[in-house]
Amino acid sequence: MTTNPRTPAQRCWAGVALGSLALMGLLGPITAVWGAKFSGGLAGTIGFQAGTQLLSDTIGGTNCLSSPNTVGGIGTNQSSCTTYPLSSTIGSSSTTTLGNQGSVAPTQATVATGGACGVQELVDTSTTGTNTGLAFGGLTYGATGPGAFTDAPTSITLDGSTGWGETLTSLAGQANYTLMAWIKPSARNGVLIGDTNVQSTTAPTNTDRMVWIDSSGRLNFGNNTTTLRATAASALTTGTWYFVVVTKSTGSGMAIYVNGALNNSSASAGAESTLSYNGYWHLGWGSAVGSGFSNLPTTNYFAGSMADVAVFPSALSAAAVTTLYGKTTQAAFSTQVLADAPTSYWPLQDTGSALYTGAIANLPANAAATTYRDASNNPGTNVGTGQGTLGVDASGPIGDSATTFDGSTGWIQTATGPPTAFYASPGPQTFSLAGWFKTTSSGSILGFTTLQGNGTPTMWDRHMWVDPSGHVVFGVYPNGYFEVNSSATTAKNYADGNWHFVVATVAPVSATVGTVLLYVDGALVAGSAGDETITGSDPAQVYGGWWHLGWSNATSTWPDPPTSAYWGGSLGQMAVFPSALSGANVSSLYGAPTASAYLAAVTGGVGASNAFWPLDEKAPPGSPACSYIAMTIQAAATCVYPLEVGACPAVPPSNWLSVSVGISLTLPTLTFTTAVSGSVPATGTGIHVSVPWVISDGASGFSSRLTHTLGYVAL
Amino acid sequence: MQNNNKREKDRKVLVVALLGVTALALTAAVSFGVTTFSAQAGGTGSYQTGTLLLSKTNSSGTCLSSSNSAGSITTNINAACAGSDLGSGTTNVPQVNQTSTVTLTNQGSINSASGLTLTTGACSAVAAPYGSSALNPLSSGSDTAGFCGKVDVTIFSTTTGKCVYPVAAGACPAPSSSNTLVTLASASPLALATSLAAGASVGLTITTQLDASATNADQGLAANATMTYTLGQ
Repeated sequence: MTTNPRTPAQRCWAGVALGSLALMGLLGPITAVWGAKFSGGLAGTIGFQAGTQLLSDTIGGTNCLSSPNTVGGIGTNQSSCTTYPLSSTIGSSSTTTLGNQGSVAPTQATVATGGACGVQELVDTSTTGTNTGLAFGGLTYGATGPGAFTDAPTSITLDGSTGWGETLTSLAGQANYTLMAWIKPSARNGVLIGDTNVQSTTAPTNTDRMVWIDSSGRLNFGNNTTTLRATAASALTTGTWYFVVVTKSTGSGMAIYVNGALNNSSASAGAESTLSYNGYWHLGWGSAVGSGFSNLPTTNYFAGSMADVAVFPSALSAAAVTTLYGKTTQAAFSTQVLADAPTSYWPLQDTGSALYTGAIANLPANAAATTYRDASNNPGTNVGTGQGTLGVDASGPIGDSATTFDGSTGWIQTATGPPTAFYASPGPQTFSLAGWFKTTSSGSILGFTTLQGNGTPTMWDRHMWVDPSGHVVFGVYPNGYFEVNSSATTAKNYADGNWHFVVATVAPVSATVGTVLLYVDGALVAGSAGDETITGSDPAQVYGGWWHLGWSNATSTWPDPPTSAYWGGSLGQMAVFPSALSGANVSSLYGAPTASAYLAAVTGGVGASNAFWPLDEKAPPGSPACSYIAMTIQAAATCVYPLEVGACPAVPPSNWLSVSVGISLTLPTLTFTTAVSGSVPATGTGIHVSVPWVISDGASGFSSRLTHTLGYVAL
Repeated sequence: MQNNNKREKDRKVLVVALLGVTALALTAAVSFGVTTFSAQAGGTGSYQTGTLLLSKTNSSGTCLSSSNSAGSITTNINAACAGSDLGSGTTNVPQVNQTSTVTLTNQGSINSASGLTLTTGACSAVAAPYGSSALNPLSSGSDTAGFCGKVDVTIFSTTTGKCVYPVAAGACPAPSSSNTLVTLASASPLALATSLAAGASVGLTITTQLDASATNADQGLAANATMTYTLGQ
């Protein structure tokens, strides 16, 4: 007998299940299990969404977004903007409006140079030598190149009035040569290429070897005393690409080729030489107007697009010219040009992003005087002027740079003295001095004397120095020497090559007692309440005077004097307060983590300073041309470069194009203002000084960035 | 005596079974509601089946496993609960976590002896662009393949005081790439409660975080998965 192992109850449930299965055939599959149970369930598609960080900037109505406008497009979240935050005209300003286009509010925004400052170059790709071209004036990049080429060539465009390309190498004139260019004129006027004995567009003493378009649209080729003119039938029309070649040979004379075919020639000119001088090639410019040639244009500037300018050291044959004209791609054309061994070849496929940072003849680096701004808001006019040898310490305190002093000649003279209140007699009597110092030797941090210069004063006190033991000392003279010395509480040698923060506070307590305190690195190291005996409620000597940074007269007659009246080391973030800071104030200043936080503290956070010298002026850029351009950046209500409260000052001369600043929390409108620092030699007039700019923001791991590389400032 | 009792039980079961088949035929679904019957031996009696219903409450409201109207309990699974148990918002950035609270309650009349489980289905990522950008309403990252693996998740039971995912005796570890929506989908059903009495609840705190390894390519993406809470008899 076969035994059914199931219980009767199980058999019944099985019946139910089978019955259900039979019915469920209409309903779709189910799973039947022995011992079926009640069950309840909940399900739902749940989601988690990441935020987005997107930055936009708007310059002159043109928007640039950090991400491409396509789904799935965010990768590096960086876009290259076709706009440029700097105005192309020196002395003017350009405004950029930043916007947060993402869902996540950024926690910071940064404006920085994205690379070296330099001059835009027109590359010479010849193999025989480098004769780099530089962009000047109204010259732009990226226009469509010669129509004969099928591989998307580009060209430069010249405005016909200010733009041209200058070359850097002076070359001797040659009797045999070829000049070549693809051009698309927008005016029947101007010089395609010309040679003079000087750089720039200043009037030369020698000019020769020149090709121009006259008012009839006819090409002209000038050599020595001869002008060879193209035929009337071949007059150029505007908006059309032409391949222009001129040759000069002592054997066959002068010739003009248009679009690969000989147009006109003069065999008799073969006997002519060229003028004997060393000269520079100019692209899109030549000294034609007023020259001795015939059929002159009315302007020296070419208007239109230009590409593939070359100079060959021989007269190319007609066949060679025809071969060049027959090329159908930019690549093949360039290869053929190089095969013909040019002296110089500027394809003019440039984008402006290639920067020349080397020396430029007649344009030496700017030697502008160093000015140290007063960033206080009271009213910020106690500007410092560098004396002797000063430098830049890139590793300054609180993330900023600082100023170096050589210990023997360098110090900073300040502008404000008597009769300005606080500086006029009796001089500061309730005040605080604060600043960061770094040294390995004994010297003076600052001092107050009756002279603006550092000659021998009649009165001097309010001096701060580091003594030969590395102790920090501050002294006043209330009818007698009174010093507070860090050695009172610590034997520490502060001349240890590290940054330290010092604060001295002075205030009368009564007519006969004053308080002088000294803090180092946020801690009280010397002095106590009522520690000073005074007369007439004046804890310091009564006189009017000036502050001196990096120099004092403490070597004269003061106890425990410094080894040197000068400072050997670095100073930064020096502030003078017309009040006695509290210990809490000192802690706040010492704890300020960034230059912007420190600025906020010294302009009201802990007290309104009377004068504040950040001493973070930057070193001039390496490129000589760049050393002539200073700038400011205003971010909404704050000047972020140089860092100051409120409106930016007139462009300080040492605020170069090299910038890296952070802007906290909000995305403001940025206004970039440029100005010339120093006197620019004529050679530099109109030169394209460019520096890549990066504007970025970020929030907890996401970031977005906008780069600007194509713009320039015409010096 | 024993045999009679057994027959009596068998008869009741048989009646229940027949009623169940009848109900199936009428409603084309298994339905457990109020059912009465007459006993064949000994007077008048009644028999009522219990109910096993599960509710979930999150920030979007309460969802019930049944539509809770008479005669409507069929599969007793509500697959359309609203709201996300993984938090909300479009401002999530790497290494910043958020928590959401989920409460699961046995709303039925009978106790659950087999307990409550959570099963998470496979995760998928899609572009979920932030739409308020004036310039770029369609911007989302490209990392749809890797995004699910960058959503860190932990699940803590406030009822037991233990971490449910990953399983731990106490608090959950900090969110990390060790526990993501990808690993959660491949995990065995999570035991949220070994039993759950009628009217009792289980509280969960679900912590999510975009992993530190997330990049710009993960911006604006959304990860979706199906989470199924099952309460057994």
